[in-house]
Amino acid sequence: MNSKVNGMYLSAVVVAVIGAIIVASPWVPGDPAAKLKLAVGYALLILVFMFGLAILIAIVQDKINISGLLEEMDGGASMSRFQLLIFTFVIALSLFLVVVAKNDFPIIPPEILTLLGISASTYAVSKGIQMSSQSPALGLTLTPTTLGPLAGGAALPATAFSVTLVNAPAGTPTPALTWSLDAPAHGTLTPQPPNAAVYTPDAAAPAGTKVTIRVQAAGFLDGTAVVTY
Amino acid sequence: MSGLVTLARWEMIILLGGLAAIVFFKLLTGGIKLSGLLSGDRQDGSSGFSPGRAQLLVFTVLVALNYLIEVIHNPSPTSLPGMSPTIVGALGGSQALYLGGKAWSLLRRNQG
Repeated sequence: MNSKVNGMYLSAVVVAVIGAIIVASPWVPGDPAAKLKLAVGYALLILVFMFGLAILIAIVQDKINISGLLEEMDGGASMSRFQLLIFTFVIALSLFLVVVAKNDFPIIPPEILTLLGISASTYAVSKGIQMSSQSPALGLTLTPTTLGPLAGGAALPATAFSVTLVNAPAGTPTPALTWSLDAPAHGTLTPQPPNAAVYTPDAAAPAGTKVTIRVQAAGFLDGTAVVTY
Repeated sequence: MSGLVTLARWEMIILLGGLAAIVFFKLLTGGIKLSGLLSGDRQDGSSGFSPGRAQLLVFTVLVALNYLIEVIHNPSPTSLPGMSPTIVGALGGSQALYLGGKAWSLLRRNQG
């Protein structure tokens, strides 16, 4: 697909250059400076047109997917996006019609700018309300979060790590937990249901070793604790 | 120079008109999803018909159509036609009603 797109852009540049050469060629009568201006103007117009056309074709072919243009995060269509789309099109189309009719850029009345501002602000505020309605992510935390530094060489005492649920409503039962060590050679982890595990350190672990204890549950962010030797 | 202006005019007609036509076509054929446009959240968390969204849709379409008609009959040679402050205020009120309803339903849902 990339080679097709590159080919399209390349052909746009080629057509633009050919158009400019034709306009600036010696057999077209006129002042050279004026012809140069015209040549650059035609080249830019052709380039913009070809690039715009390439984008429109990509939208039609669904290579640029606009199916979610009005979609909220929950999957339904958004009224605030819809009204912003309508007003943007209406003002753009109106501006174009006036420019075409008068061949000049018109003055834009303050009421129209206010209208666009209201429309865009509604979209922004609606987005803010929607984001604030999202429930915070459920998570797990381990206590203690750190252990050590432990001195190796002697028998080290075992330590219990317990799990607390974060952002869960009161009374939520502890989910099924999966415990793991990122360095299983350094210590053992013994689960103590429903919400704890006992870590027995590795007496032979070299100083500076770090071991991460991880607890996981479906639908919850992982909880971790770090043991340092 | 007139050739350049004519070309620019046709170019914009094709590009802007083309984009509007594609978006409109996709809206009509379901290429851009419109399902749930008039549905809002209820206090119990379910979704149903939202009067706030319906009134905003009606206001938006009416104001947009009214403005397009004004532009077509634009008497001014130098500027876009203005809009009555009453209409802008009414549209602002409509949007505020929609946002207020959305915020209220969120507040009620969080309290419930």
